[in-house]
Amino acid sequence: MRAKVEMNKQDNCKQNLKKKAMLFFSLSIPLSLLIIGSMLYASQGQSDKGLWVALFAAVLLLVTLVLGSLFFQRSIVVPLQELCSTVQRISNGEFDNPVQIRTMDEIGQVGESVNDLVINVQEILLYAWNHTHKNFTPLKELPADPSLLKNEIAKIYRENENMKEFLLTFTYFEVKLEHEKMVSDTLDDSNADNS
Amino acid sequence: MGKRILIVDDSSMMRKMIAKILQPEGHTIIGEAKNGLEAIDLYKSLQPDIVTMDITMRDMDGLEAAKEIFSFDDSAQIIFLSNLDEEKYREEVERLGALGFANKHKAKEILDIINR
Ligand SMILES: [Mg+2]
Repeated sequence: MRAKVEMNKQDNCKQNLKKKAMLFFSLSIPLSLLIIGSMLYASQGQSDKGLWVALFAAVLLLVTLVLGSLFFQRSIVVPLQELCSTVQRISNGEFDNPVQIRTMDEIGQVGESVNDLVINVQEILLYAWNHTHKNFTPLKELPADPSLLKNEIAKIYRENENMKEFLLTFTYFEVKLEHEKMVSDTLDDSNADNS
Repeated sequence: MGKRILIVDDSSMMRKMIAKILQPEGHTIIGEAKNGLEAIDLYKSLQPDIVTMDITMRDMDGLEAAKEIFSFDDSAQIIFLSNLDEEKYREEVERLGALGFANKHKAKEILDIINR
């Protein structure tokens, strides 16, 4: 069910942009026809030369519009569609496909930042993976000798301290880590005391 | 004595964390690179005393970058700092001629390696 919702979201995100682009260019076509018509009308009764100039201007206008729409499609619509679907995959936890950076315009810069974010998230997850692994190893082979046992426990303690220090390096959204506790950054203290 | 250090890591967060470990000990971060190619360029232009080198990076990984740096400066002081398994990669790193290998999980070990 959830997968279906995600799919729909992705499709919507693609079509909305396309629709807007289509609307923009379909509005510009009657506008250009209007301009061409008025130019032809204005050139009526004038010399042939005037007619040719008006036709040339009209063709130029159409060509510009077509090239403009192609440029818009290639440089904005397509890269944004790509970014959109990649970001959606990433938010589902698939980190193995980075955003392809083709240009260093604003879209490219957003892509770079998304890639940077993914690298950071992956780094935290790998760190957590190493952490569990480093704690499991001594636990799996607990020695019977109590003096050695103390050693192994000290190892686990150190690993946990490393993890804690790592987690304290960041600033968090909505929560603060302080005095061994995770507290809300937005709920005020009086509220927490009452409950 | 404080060293001039170049930090190489693709994660901006990790670069920050490494700097946070090094700076209080009197070391200066003279540059940061986010892949092997940038690392080589910055190594040439900055001539750092020490490089902390991540391994897994897009574009060019840390092992390749270190090889390249050693090819024009065989006295380069490179410390690898990675999430990858220590036992599996320590040997390769030492064969390259690196100063040492620390797991990011125990990133503070880079201080011991520097002072060694
Ligand atoms: Mg990395």
